[in-house]
Amino acid sequence: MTAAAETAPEIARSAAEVLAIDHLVKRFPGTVAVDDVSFAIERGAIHALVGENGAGKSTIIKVLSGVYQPDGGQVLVRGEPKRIRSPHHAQELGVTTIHQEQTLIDSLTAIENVFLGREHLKGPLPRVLNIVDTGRMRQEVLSLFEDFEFDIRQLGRAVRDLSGLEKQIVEIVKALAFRSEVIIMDEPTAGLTEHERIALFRHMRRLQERDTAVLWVTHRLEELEGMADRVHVLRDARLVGTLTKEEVTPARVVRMMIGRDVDSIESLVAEQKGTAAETADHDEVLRVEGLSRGRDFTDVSLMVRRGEILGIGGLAGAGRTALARAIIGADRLDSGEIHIQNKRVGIRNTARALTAGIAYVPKERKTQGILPEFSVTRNITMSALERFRRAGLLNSRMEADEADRYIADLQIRARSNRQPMDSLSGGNQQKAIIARALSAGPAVIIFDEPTQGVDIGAKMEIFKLINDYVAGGGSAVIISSEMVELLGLSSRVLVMRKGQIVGELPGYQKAGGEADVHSLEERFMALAVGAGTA
Amino acid sequence: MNALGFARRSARWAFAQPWSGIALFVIVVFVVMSFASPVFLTSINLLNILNQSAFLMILAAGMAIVLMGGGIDLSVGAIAGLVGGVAAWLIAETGTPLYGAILVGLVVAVGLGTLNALIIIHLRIPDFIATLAMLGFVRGLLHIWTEGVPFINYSSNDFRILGGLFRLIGGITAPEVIAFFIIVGAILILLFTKFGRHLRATGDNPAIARLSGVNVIRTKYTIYIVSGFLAGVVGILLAGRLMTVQANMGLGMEIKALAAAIMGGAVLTGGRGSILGAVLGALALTIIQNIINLFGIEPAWETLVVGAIILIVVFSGKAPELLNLARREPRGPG
Amino acid sequence: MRRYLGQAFAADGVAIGLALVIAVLAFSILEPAFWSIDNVLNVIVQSAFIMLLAVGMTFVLTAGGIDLSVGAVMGFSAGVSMYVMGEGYWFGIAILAGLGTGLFFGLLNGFLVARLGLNDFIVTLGSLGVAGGALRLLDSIRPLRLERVVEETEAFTFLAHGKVIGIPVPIIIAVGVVIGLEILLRRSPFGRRVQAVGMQRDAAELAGVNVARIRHTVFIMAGLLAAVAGVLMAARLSSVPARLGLGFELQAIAAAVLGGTSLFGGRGTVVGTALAALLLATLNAGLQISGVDATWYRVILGVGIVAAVAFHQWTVRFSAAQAFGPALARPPPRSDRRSGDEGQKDARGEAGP
Repeated sequence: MTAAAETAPEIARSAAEVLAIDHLVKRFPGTVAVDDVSFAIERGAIHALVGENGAGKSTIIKVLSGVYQPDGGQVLVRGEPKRIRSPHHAQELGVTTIHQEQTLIDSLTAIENVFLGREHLKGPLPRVLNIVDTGRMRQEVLSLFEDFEFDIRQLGRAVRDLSGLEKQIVEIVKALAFRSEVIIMDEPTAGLTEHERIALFRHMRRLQERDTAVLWVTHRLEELEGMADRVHVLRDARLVGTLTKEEVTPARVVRMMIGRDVDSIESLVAEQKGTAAETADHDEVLRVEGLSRGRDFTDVSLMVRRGEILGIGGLAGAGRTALARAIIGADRLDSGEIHIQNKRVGIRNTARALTAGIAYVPKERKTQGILPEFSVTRNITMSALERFRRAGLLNSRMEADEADRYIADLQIRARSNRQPMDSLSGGNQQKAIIARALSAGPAVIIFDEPTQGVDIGAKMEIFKLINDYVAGGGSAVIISSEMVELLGLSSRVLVMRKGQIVGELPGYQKAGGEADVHSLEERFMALAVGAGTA
Repeated sequence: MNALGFARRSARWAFAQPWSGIALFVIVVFVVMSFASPVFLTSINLLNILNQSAFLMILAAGMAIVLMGGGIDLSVGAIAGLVGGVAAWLIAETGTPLYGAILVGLVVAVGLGTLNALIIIHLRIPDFIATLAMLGFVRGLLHIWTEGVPFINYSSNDFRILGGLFRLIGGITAPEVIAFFIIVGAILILLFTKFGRHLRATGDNPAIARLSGVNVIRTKYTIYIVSGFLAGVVGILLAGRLMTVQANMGLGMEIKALAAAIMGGAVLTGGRGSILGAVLGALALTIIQNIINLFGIEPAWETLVVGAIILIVVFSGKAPELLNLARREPRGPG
Repeated sequence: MRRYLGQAFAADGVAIGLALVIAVLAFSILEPAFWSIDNVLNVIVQSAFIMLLAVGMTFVLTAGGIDLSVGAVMGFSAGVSMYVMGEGYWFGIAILAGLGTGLFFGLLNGFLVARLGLNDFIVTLGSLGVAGGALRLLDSIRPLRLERVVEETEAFTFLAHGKVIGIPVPIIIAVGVVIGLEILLRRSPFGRRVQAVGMQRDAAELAGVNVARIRHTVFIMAGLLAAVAGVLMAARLSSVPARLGLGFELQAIAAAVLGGTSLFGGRGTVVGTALAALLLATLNAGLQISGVDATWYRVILGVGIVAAVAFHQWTVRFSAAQAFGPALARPPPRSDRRSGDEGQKDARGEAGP
């Protein structure tokens, strides 16, 4: 059993398998999201699915829950190949997904949510009067709720008043009330307190006792040990291995997850060594001291010098984006100071941040970055409109010239500078947004997930672009969930966990050899997940 | 001890209800007014208030249903006017019996509600624009039709009873009875039927509701049809009450109904609201009107007060968040 | 061919200009009297009021908001300036008082919506009630009309009845406003920012646009323009009815939407709005002169708005599909414009990789 699970190319069609994927392939325009992945889930087992962002976890989940259709390979439910048509169909087949985003209706109670869309009816003419049988529904799930230590006095309250754990339990009970044989849980512990997490694990064990299998997606590798019966590790859209319960250690999983495209990263590091000057004695450009904002982050201080790239790493929810938003004035700060070129600045809104010299390249490009109906030109000049004024009015010639310059410099592939932004590919949109930031002539640019959702070619171009900007006297802060990108680009990396900076590491540039690189990566992961000390 | 605990629990329950604020408001106004005016607390005046408020209560209940379902219907006042006109015209000009005329009127109301739903759902036009346009359309039709001459000579004893001009047993009137059944019916439906749950789910989060298997489109249709129907009921009652139907009948009632519903805890983003709250809101607005009458205050104040109440209610609904501005920003996601 | 036709119609003002020409021709044929200089000037003056309101509405809509109070604010501003005239003050004071009224409501609406983040629809509905009630209150204090004809009142009524080089003053004002604001919307940084805010508020903010200030400003503009229309209206009518402005917000929305401004923000045209206001006035006058019941106008207005929004959504989808392939045709705009203000509620988790 152990030996077979290590690679699992051939799926043994045993009766114990409730759900399996077999040579699954899923492509998106320009990228392969899942590339020939196979694994099987046994009845009553807890399987974990891990990998870095973009490794293909969420695509696999979406295929299993009927959101996406596979482009190759098949999904087997209880040994039979099935085409899962919709989330509803998945539930009928006994596969329920608890998404990271809540799928409960806030203003309904727990029981109302569990039975939403399939209420039991009672009374005369049930089809006409549609009177709901609250008593029967309550009876049916009461013991389930009790099993999961849910305070049944809370059953009458609107879900919005429940705690994070209680909401998870409602989702679980909802899944079980569907008679699910497999429950897929996407990052179930995100947003839970330590105590609640432990309780949730107890509940996952209880699911196991009920013979319900769990496919568990998590970023928090320290949770795996002792909990997961199998751990499937994904990297770059492929399955790199499956570990058994006995084999799982965080260090081992990290090593499997990280692996990398050696050529591209080495060329990147080599280039870095060539171009990046020693910056230790350069002037400081941005310094923040003691920034705090609610529960998002506390007492954060950092400093960036001219010609330097500062990385900020950490897990999702560590407070990195919230920190960036507060620095650029999009959200209010509770306390702290921001200094630019040694002058204290008050930043109340994003316009002020820009005049002070901080530009921001947001993540979530589609909703936070692009202005979809504007042309490429207008998207690029948006942050520096005052520069294109002549006699108070915008000079479209000057704007077009500026845009053309960036289109050529950054190799933005557009038919013309008048093409609407939403008809560009993701990578070119991202380059145009970087052009927007550059065009504002800032002292420092904060890049938030700069390569999210762009293909590998555009990725390398964006890396080069950031390097060129910094080599030309600019400064950058990079927030990224991709460790290789972060360590490869940055001269220093700050690691955030739960809203605080927990350590600082050098980038790959300072690493001596392969062994050094490995230990750097392990220290990074250890800091980010909180399993070790700095 | 036990009694105290029970009282505390009841109080906590009451304050958690969406209608708690408006209930408190009504009680305070009652207490203040009973001292301020010797006439206010007389049974005649109270019956009068109840009698007047019945019409608005029905519309407010309808508006609360629409708001809970995540929509809005600004055409109810105009629909009430047109339906009243249809009934009056049928009786006066064609000699249709009263109940036949009522039936036709209600069919027209349901038809207009369906049309609203069609435009909103299938043409994907924002609900408030669609129903605002419907307001202009229907009111315009009524003006064209009446040519500035009100419908008269249709009133009969039965119709006047229906309009609440005669008191039945115990001093109550027909509109009160009808309003009572509509309100109780609506509360029961919301509490105990599948539709009630699907309504709240649709209003709160249509995407999740759809994923859970709720027929969101059918729910949306239902709320606009119900809203049109209730507006039609009010139109007929008003026609009975006023004994003439002018082209301006029901003018501005949609604003009052909306004000009543949001005073009663409904929010424009859907999912939240309460029939009871909306009914109390309608009562409160009628009391304000009554006070204006009792003290001989200039009637124009009423419009101003309703507008100010809307602003205050919206503002106070946001106040806790605003006080906490530094901690939690009311911004978009991210 | 279909593609070019679609794109031509989607261009600002083309469709509405065509409709205007057809309407004018039709009425000229039906009623030769329609085509007299006096009547034409009269129609244009009539359109000026709606035009001013609708231009303000255009800015609010383009920034992704809505202002239902413009009609009531116009009425109340007219009432205030008339009241001040009646008290015997200099006409300049009366004008300033009227404009100040509009400014006040614009500031208030903008503050509640842009700074406090309240829902624009309900806030301006509240303001509508307050301003409408205030006008009736003012009317109950003293009838709002010009009683004595003295030099002062002549100066005041000159605003509406006077002519400069043969052109009525309201037309000069309206044309000036339209040209000035068209340039502001098309060519100034402010106008660009208004469009960006309406198109994608979060993206605009992160690109360094002071979103709150832009949104506040458009409400102030709407209030001020409503006041300008109100003062002109007072000067023209020489008496202010207690219900002046009732339902004008609907006409203003209609003019803006018919002219090609998007109800969903991001796209607006002042010239299109002005042409649409002209069309509405032509329609109104033409119906009157043809002896058709004037209230048909209201019916047409209701149908027109729905048709215009539906048409607009169709052209947006159509031209996008034609030019960039069906995959890129934008989905219909968010059907619930109110979601932006009181918390986002959409099913997340559907985003691609």
